[in-house]
Amino acid sequence: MSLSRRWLALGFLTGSLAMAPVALAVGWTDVGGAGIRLNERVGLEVHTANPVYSSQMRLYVTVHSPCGGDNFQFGYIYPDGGSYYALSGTYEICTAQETPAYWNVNGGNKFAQCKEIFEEPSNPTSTCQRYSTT
Amino acid sequence: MRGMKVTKSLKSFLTGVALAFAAGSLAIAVGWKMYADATATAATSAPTPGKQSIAKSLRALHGAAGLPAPTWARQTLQDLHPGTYADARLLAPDLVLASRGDGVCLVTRRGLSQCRDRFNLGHAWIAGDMIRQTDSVDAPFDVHIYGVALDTVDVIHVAKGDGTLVRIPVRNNVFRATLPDTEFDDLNRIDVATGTDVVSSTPAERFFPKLR
Repeated sequence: MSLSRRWLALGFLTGSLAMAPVALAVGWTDVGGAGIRLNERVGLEVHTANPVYSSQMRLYVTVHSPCGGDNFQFGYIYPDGGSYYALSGTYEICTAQETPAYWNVNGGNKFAQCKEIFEEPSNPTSTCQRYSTT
Repeated sequence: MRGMKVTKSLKSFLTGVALAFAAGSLAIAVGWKMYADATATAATSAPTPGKQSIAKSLRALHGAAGLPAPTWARQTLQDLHPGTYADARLLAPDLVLASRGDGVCLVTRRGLSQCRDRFNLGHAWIAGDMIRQTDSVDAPFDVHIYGVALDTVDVIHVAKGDGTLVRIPVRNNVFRATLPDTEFDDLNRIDVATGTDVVSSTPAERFFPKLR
């Protein structure tokens, strides 16, 4: 391998290592894992393990019947864990039209949360996600 | 001679870094697209039969009301469900409406964006959120209420616990208001009205659950 190729390879490796954390942080990331069952019990919620930067959130809920009405909520909680910075109203997410639901609110560095209010007749799976631009 | 060698090595190194960034960006873009497509496909199913079209009952989607939807709204519509959205219109500040089949999509720049095939309070779709005025744990909240209503609806009333009645006019089938220094806990009742007649009414807690 020539000297310049070695430098090229070393540059590629350095760039790849620099990209790794970027790839992990930018874009949509699951909150609480995919396929969670927010309806498993009343008031169930999922949130990020730590305060993280989120610019918006969304929630996919498997199409189900009967619909349970306006039941799902998004929130951003301060690092103290006890106070909301922002909280959405309730969303019905039931039909193919209704999923996903977006909440285009920038939360900054907070716990990002998806929650449900009451137990629906069916128990659909949900995927809560947050978007990060950093 | 040695200087030239160093320059060449540096060039090779920087080319390698650039290649890695380009490859990484491409991988992220392709991966995200595949993921989004897969998730969207998983969520798709046939529309519920036997429902009336709410899109047909919204005059603002069938005329020249408002302005053409801006780019940010069109992007959100594509993120929700890929499609053409030829009738997408900006009908209030930062609020866009578009039809999707028999349903309707509401896109806000800061708040809810979703499509629905039925409303949640009679002839209206009530949405909103509660956000602190500044990013401080001590800052007061504002409640933002917005949504969509059929042609027959003139006004949305929000009654607060202190007896205040907030009147939110419906124009071009949409409404939007900010209730300053207000929390969900302060809201009491929401009415949908035609003229002086209240046609639907519900405790506000149904859409804006109390925290205390």
